Amino acid sequence: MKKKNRILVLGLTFSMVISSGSLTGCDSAAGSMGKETAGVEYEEADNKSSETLSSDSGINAADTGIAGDETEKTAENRTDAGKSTETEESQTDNSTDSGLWKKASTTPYGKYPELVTYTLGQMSGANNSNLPAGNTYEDSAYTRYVKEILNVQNENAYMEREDRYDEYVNVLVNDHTLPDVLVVSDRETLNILVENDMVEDLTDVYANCTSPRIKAMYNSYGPQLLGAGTFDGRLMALPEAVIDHGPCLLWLRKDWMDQLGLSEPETLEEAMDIIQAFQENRMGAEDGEDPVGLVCDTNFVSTTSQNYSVEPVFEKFYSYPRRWIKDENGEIVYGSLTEETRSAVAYLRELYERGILDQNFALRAQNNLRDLVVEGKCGAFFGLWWAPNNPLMDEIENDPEADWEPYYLTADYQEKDNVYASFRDNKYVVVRKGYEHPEIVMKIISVLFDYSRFDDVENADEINSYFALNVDPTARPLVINVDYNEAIYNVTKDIRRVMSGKQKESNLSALEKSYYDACMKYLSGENVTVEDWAAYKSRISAVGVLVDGHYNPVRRQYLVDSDGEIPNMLATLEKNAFIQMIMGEQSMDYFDTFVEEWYEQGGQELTQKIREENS
Amino acid sequence: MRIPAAIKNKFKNMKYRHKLTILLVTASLVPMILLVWYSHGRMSSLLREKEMEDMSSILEQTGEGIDSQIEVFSSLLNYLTYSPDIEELIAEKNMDNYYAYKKYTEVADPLLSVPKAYHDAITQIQLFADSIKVRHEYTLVPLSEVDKEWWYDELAEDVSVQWVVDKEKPEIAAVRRIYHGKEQTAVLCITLDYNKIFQPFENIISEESGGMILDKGGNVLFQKEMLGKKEEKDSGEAVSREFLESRQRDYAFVNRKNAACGWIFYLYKLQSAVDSSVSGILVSEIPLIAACVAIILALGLSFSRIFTRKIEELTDNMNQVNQGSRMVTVDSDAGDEIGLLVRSFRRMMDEINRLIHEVYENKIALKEFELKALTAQINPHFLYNSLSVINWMAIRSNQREISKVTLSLSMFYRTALSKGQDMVTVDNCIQNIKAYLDIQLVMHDNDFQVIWDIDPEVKGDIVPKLLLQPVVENALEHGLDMKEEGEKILRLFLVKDGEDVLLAVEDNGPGMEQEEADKLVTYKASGYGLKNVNDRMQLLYGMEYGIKVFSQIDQGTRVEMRIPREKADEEAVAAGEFSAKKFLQDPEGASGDATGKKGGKSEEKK
Repeated sequence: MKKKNRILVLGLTFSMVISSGSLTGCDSAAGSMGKETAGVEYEEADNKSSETLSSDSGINAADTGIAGDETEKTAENRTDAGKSTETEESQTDNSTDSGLWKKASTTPYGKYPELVTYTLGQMSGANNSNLPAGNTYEDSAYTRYVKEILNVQNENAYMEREDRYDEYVNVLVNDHTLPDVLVVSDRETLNILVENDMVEDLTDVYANCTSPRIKAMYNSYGPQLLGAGTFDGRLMALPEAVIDHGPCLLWLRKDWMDQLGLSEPETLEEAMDIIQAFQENRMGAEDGEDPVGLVCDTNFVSTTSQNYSVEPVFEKFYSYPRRWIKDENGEIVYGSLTEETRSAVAYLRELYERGILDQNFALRAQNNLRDLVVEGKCGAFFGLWWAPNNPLMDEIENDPEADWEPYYLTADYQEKDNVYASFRDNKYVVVRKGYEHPEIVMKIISVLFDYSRFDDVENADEINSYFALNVDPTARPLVINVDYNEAIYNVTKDIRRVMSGKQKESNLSALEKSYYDACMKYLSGENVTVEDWAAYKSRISAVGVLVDGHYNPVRRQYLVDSDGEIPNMLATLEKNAFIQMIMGEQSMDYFDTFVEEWYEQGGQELTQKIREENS
Repeated sequence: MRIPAAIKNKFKNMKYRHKLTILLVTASLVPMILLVWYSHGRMSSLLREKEMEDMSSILEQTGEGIDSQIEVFSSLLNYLTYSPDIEELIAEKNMDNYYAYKKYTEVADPLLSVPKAYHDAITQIQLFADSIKVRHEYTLVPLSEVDKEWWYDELAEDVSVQWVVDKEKPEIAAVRRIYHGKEQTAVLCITLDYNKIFQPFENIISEESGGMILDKGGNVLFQKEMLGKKEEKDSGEAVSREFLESRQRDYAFVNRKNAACGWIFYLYKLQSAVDSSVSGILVSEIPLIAACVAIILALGLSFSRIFTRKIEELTDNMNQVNQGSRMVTVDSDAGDEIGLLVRSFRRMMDEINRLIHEVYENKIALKEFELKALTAQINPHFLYNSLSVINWMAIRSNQREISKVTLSLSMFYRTALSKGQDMVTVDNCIQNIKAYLDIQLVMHDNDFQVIWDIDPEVKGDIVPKLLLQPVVENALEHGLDMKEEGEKILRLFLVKDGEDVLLAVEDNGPGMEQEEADKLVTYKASGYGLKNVNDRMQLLYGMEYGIKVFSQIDQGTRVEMRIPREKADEEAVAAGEFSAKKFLQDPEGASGDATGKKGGKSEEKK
């Protein structure tokens, strides 16, 4: 071939090969890139929206669950009592490993020589249980403290939100996939666990590894509480110790009373007269509005986390609606059906007629009642000792002139011990059968609810700071609380002793001290905040009237196993009957009809069943 | 465009190989760049279109999502409005309390709270009605309280579903007025979580992009921009037309209108963000392009090297020839032009070499022939016989002098002729000169003295014949004969000097200027014949050998001849095989150049 041609051919081939190469390369790159970007963005958008949907719905659902507990938490926060007695045993001679292990597994505070881990079925709360940023259920002040003191660490095998927790525990039990430690909040599930021998016997570890103060706390509830976790004489589950919040007090607007020149009530009747005076003078009512009167929740009786019941009215008649009681013949009956209840309802009917009881009480829900109080339209309601924290604090903030006073008017009508309590809402701690260190639950309880609260307050301030941060109890490795039944009364007694100079300030625990300071600030009248006011009103005024009224928590009897839960239909029947009678829709004779209907619609069988089980 | 002369020149003077490289590289780079440029441009525009498509399809999807939600809530609102229970609640103005309680708890509560469980965006459903006396939960509210609601002022007098948005709360209210005759008896409102409704839209606003939702009146319902690093959400002020237009102008921009409530969704993306994906492609292309360029360069270089190798060899060879060599080192069997060129050059050089040899050899042959002819002029046998007769006659007449001269003469000729050989031993040479000097001494009445200095070692070495004789003759004729007074001395040296044999003739005659002496060898000074001798020697041994003349006025002259030592091969000496053959075998000496092969080759050719 000629040189010229060769060069030409060469040049052409050369450039064609290279450019076609680069072209295909670029093309394919562009093609794939285009596709990728488009695909990714769709995916992202989809993911995000679905994610937010699911998580948000979860939070919403959980929100409602939390709202009810809010008040309880507040109360619990302030629940600390008693001076510490000697608890920690100082045994330093056992320096050998086996000695350390032995010591750790037989004492409340003995530290394990090596890290002991346990898998936990964690009940989680909304918003990560309000844990500070960066903290998790496996790494919080609680777990860090427990690890530091005991060298014990939880590994959360399962986590489920409060509202779905029971359902999930059921699945675990049925699948036999229990974590090492589990909190059960359903009595039936507990029964299944014990019957199938799936949980460890805790009798010995309770004896060895709970601190004396924890034992004292349990004893303050009487033998019934531990009895609830005891099967055939063996402690198979440790029940939560829910502290006593006392009876409902009548909260009255003191400033209105002063305005009208009314003296303080001694009896319930006197109190009702005062409310009638409020009504007649249209206290808190704007033009065109009717005064509200005594507000009342349509449930009439309440749990420890609710206000606005009219329980004291029933108490006045020794009536215990919605509870199982033992009648004079020793038979178990439903408290709403008794003659005493009829009298109480009749009295409420009278109050309604007199215009003392809110004429629209049936139309209002809990949140409406709260709004009435906060808006200053309501001057009287029955509430627990912590009512100043919720809702009164908000009312005071709105209207600094307002003042409230609690009255314990049912001191004379002390509850009889014929009322049964139920284990319905109790939580139980169980340990999986075969777990090597069942004692850790006792040790953790001792550390969290005794040592950190009473003996080691300085070092445990991170845990104690969680109260102020409003961290939910679900953040705890064991979602229970353990305290004296009389915890709140003890605090008040201690503060009062210091106030009256009978004791030194230095004897107060850290928590008591903070309440004491707030109360002293309120009394001094300088720079008083609503919080100071609330602290004084709840701790000194409200709990004070209970202490002065010689209130003592009644050691109730517990129904065995079956909770005696009232089916919805019967509950509605009862509620509607009471409302109708109170509002005058039906005469008081209707009470008999109601009792009849109640038995007819399944109440008979229910009563029979409970009688049999508890005979 | 005029190419500057310097560059033009530079290109002109550039090596062919480099020109070829430039040619190849340019020839491939230009189309490649064109293709890359075109395909990149095409790709970029495709990608841009794709981005825009993506944006609008994402917006479409999101918009549809929000649309369907709005649709759901609108129909929920309509359903509730016309549900008999709600209608009854609104209509029954004078319910007694217990009846109201039953209605509220058994009818209204489930009806108004259940949807919340199924649509998590719903924060609450509220019925404001004439017939409601006191608030129940937050769902049933007396109509008199409706004007306290944040959305009430925004409502038109209309029975259709109206959407009101508050960015600050942040809530969205879907509201319907309900009339009985001309009188408004109730208002039904679904309050929605602003964030949840617009969350899908917010999610699609990624970096370098922004989005906006405007209502029918052009109020900003939602705005979020993530331009640069900082994230802006809800700039607050109502967005002016200009702002929108500026966004429309400067950004990749898509919009979508929601039919149900008249909201317009805008999504825009920083042009540079769109381009960044394009430049991403460019980045991925760069290595490829670089690789291509590298390949082009490498191939261009190596191809041009391959192509020009022969030409360069040829050029080098030509350069060498220019500098005097006549060696042809380049060869090619290729059939192309270069092969042709190489072979032509080869043939040409061969021809030249052949011609040169021809001329050269002819010249030497001529010289030898001349010598031979000279020697052949004398018939030695006749001469010897004549001299023999003279000698014999002289002895017979007792003429010793004559006899001696005759013998010397005989010796001189015998040694000079030396059986016709060109090369003789030093010994021969000595005998020759001795004979010559004997005669000269007789001729000069012994008025000069001869002193020999002979190194016996060199006696066996061979030298060209008749080398010394002209020099000695010169020394007598121009040296000693010219000396008028004082002793005349002629010194002869035949000694070894390193690898050479040094023959020197020294007289103490009148001498001459050194410059003049130098000329004796170079110019054909008449009567000296030194040039001739010198030429012969240089022809035989090379330029570094030859004659040197040293002279000083009144001091004398010394003529030195230097010849490389060469032991006489007895046989060769006997066979008389020196001379021209030796010269031919060693042309190196003759040409004074280092082209040994050429001699060999030319010999072969012969």
